[in-house]
Amino acid sequence: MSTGKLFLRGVADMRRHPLPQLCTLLTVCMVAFLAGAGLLLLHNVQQEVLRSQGQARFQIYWSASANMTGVEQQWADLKRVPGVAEVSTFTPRAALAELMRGLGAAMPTTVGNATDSAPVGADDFAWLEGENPLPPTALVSFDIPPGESPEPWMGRMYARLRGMEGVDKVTYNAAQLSLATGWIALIQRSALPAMGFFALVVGLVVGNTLKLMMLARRDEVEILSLVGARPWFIRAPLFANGVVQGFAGGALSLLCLKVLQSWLRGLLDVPPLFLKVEFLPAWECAALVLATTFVAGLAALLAARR
Amino acid sequence: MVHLDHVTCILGGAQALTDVSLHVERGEFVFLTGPSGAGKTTLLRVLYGDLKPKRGAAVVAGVDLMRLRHSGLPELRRKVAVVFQDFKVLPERTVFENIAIALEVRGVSRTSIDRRVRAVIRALDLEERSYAPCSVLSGGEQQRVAIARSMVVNPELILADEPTGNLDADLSRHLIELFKQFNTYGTTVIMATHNREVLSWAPEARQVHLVRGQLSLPQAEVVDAIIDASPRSGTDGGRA
Repeated sequence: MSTGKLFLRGVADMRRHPLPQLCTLLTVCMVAFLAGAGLLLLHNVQQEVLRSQGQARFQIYWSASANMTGVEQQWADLKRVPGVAEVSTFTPRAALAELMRGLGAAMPTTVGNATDSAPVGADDFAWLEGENPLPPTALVSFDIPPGESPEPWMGRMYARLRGMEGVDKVTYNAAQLSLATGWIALIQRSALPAMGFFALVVGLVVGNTLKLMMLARRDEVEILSLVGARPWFIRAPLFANGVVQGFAGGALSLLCLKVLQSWLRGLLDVPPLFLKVEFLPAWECAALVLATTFVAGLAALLAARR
Repeated sequence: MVHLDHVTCILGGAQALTDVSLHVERGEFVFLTGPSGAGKTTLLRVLYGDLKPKRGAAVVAGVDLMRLRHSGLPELRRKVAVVFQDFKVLPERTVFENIAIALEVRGVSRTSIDRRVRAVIRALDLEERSYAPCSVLSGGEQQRVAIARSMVVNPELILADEPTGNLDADLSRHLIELFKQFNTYGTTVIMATHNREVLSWAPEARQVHLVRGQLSLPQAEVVDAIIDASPRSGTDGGRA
C-alpha cells in the first residue's frame, strides 16, 4: 500500500474514535491559541511602539532670507525621498499663524489686576506682518528602512538634509527613536525564547495527548504488528492523524484568535486608550499553523514509535 | 519448521522456559499442554518473536530467532500466524475488514483481497456477517474471524494459544475441525491447551507437555493437576 493511501487511511480511521479525536483537537487548539495569543500581544506591543515613537522625525529650518520658490521645490523633492512617511511644511506666514494659534491657546492676557483666559488676538502680532522673523520649516517623518540601524541612518539623513541649499538648521528625535528601538529590540529578543517555550509546551501537551489517543488504538497497532505489518504501515496512518490534528487545531486556533482580536479591538480602541489591536500578519498565521502541524506530526510519529 | 535447542527464556527476572528443546516438522499438528503458568504462552511468544530467548538456538520457519532484529519481525510474522484466546479482533471494524487487514499489510491487490477474503468467509460460514462490525458478533464468531484472518494468508505455521478457552464444547470442536482441515492442506499447527476434551478431538496430534517451564518427557511422568488424570494418547513430550 502506497504512503498516500496509508495517509488517507489514517485520515479515514479518525472517525473510528471520535471522542479521543475531539479531545485531542480541542487540546491542540487551546495550546495553539495560547501560543497565538502570546504572538498577538508581542505583535501589537511592537506595532504600538512603532506607531508612537518608531519614526525618525527631522525638523528642517531654512534661513529666513531663503527664496520661497526654491524652498517649495525642495519640499516637493522631499516628498519623493524613499521612506518618507509624512511631510508637514510651514511657510513663514503659516508658521506665524501657527505660532499665534499656539500662543493664543496657552498665554493668558492680563487686564488690569484681573486675569482671564481670553486668547491672544491675531491683531496682537499684526505688527510682524511686514517683517516676519520666522523661517520656512518642514517636519519630515521617515520609516527607518528594514535592516538599517537607526542612529547611523539618521546621521546620514541628517547630513543630506543639512546639505540642502538654504537650510540653516536641522534637528531630529535621536533619543526618542533610540528608546523606541531599544523597546523593539527587547521585544524581538524576548520573542524568540518565548516562542521556543511555547513550541516546547505545544510539543509536550500535543505529544502526550496524542500518546493518550494512541492508547485507544493500541489494539489496532498490536494486531497490525501480529499480522506482519511493517513499521511504516503502522506509523503512517498515525502520523497522518497527528498532522491532521495539528493542522485543524492550528487553523481553529486562528479563528479563536480572530474572535479575541475583534473583542479586544472593540474594548481598547476607545477614549482615552485608542489602542488599535491588529490581527497577526499573514506570515505569522501561516507559521503558527505550520508549527502546530509539524509539532503534532512529530509527536504522533514519536508516540507511534513507542 | 520449528527447531528449538536448549532454549532458556527469562521473564520478569525468573526463568520462564528452561532448557527447552522441541522440533516440529512441516505439516505436523502439535498440542502444547500443561497447567496454567507452565510456560505454554511463553513458548508461543518465543515462536512468534515476541520474546527473545536468553540462551540456546531457535529457528522458526527458517528465521533464526537468536539473530532476529526488530526490523526482521514482519518477515517472521508473515510466515507465522497467531490465534489468541481473547480473539484480538478490532471490534469497530467489520468481519471483512478484520480479515482483509492481514492481506493489506502484505500489499496484496484489492481484487485479490476481495476474492481471498470472500473465500475464507464462505469456508468459515461467516457470509451473513461479512459487513457486521465485530463488536456485535458472538464469541464463537469472533474467534472464527480471528482464525479466518490467520488462514487467509496461507501461513507456514499457525500458533494457537488456547483458542477454545472462551467457547462452549460444540464451538470448540468445530474450531478444532477447522484447524485439522487446514493442517491437512499442509499448514503446521501448534496449539496450546489445557483442555483434555480438545486433545481427544485430534488424537493423531502429537502432544508436548510443559511443566514449570520445562518439557516433560513421557518417562519423567511429572504430575499435572489438570492433565495428569487424563489418558495421554500420543504424548511423546517433544523430541530433543
